[in-house]
Amino acid sequence: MEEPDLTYFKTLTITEQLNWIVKHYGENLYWVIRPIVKTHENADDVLQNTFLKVYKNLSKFRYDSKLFSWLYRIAVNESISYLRKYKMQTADQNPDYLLNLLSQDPYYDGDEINLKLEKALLQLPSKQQEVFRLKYFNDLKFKDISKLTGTSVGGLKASYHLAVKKIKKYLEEN
Amino acid sequence: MKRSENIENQLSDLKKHYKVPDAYFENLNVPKPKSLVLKPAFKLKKTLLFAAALLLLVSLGYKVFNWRHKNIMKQNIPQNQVSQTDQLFDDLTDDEIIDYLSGEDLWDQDLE
Repeated sequence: MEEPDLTYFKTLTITEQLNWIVKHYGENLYWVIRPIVKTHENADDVLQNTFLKVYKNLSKFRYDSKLFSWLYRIAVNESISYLRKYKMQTADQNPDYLLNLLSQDPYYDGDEINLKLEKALLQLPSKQQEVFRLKYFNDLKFKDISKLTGTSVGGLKASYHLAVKKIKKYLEEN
Repeated sequence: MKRSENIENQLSDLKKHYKVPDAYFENLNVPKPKSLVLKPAFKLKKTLLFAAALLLLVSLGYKVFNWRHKNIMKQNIPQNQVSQTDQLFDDLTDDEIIDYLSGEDLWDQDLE
């Protein structure tokens, strides 16, 4: 993940910094949000909320962590808050509701088997879901996911293989 | 092993089914102006409303206090109580009252 040149980045105004973030990280952040909130409409709303939160807090960011790690946390938190605010609950509490929304989304063309796979994913513990989302929606390698989540590469791989087993079992049973 | 590889392939295909409107990322922009502009305005509006409500509350409180105070004072003064000025005139003769009212008495004292 490309990080800005901090000496240059810090000289920018907050609005210019936000512009840089939107241009360089907009798409990545969208793919952090979309698999959590499922529909494009939800993702678009949450992305705007995320940018707004970033705009409000950018002056307080101390650059102790990587910029994208900070943005990633905001995006995940905003997604979860959004689901709670609009009574969609977190996906693991109410997967059917979200999957129903997804099946009606004009920007989704998965079939029944895909929806079943989505449901199997939603049954996993949140940490394992996070690995999948980052691996398949953000095209990140375990090394990058490790930097982002603070979990060791070994831990992530173990988590991933355990999750694949669980999904396989779920699909066989259902 | 084959089965798990198959699932991994399916998983990697998940994203393909998620579509986005044409040129969505190209048109992605800094938050819509209204979300950045309206929010501070809304904050200001909220502050003004709060200040107005506080002012109204204080003035209402003052009015209630005044009304209660007047009522208490009225209750404490007997209806037939004479004022201090009336008592003062009771002790004076008619001439002294005239002098007092015309200020003559004071005028003479000053001259002396």
